[in-house]
Amino acid sequence: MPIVVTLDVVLAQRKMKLNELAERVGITPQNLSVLKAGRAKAIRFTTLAAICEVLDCQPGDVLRWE
Amino acid sequence: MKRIQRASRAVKLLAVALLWFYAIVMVAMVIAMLVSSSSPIFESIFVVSTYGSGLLVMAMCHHVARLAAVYERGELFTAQSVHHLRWVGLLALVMAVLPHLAFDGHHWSASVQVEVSGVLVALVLIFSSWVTDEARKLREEQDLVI
Repeated sequence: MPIVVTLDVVLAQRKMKLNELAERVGITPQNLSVLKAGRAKAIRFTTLAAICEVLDCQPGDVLRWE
Repeated sequence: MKRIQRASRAVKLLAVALLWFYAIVMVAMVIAMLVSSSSPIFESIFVVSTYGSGLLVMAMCHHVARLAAVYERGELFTAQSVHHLRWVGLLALVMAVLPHLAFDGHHWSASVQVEVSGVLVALVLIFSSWVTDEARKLREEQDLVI
């Protein structure tokens, strides 16, 4: 898949743990782990918006096309 | 979903009961044949049972029970449900085209009678297993939508 999830980079920049992000976004840590590992097939706009809101970033900051 | 689980439990119990019934009957027939080996009735029943139809029914009961157990756990579209549904269909197909044995007191005769309704039901079951497999793939993909 040419879409790369760079969630780990943003999380490291924000010094935030995966579990904390999962709790604040309202999804399970397992699902967030699937997203972070790049195994997700798709991401809902609502989930992406919640992640961007919590991390105070743009969608392009957590997703990259290669 | 609760209704499916309740119904599955009933189907599972029925299939297990039928499986045990067939097992006991087959064992009883073997014992009866061994005790009175001269009886043509017992001999004929034994031959029919060992011919395979009894084992086929038992295998089908086994797969129906396992399928119902999977449904009872609330797992409708899984690899296991596809597997068991496909086997039930295949066994139903074999049973529908299996030659029938008859014993007139002196001679055995075999006749191949294809039960059209049985074949249709079996094909529908096999088709359903294919549809369930596609549903399983969709569900697995849906699970990876975050």
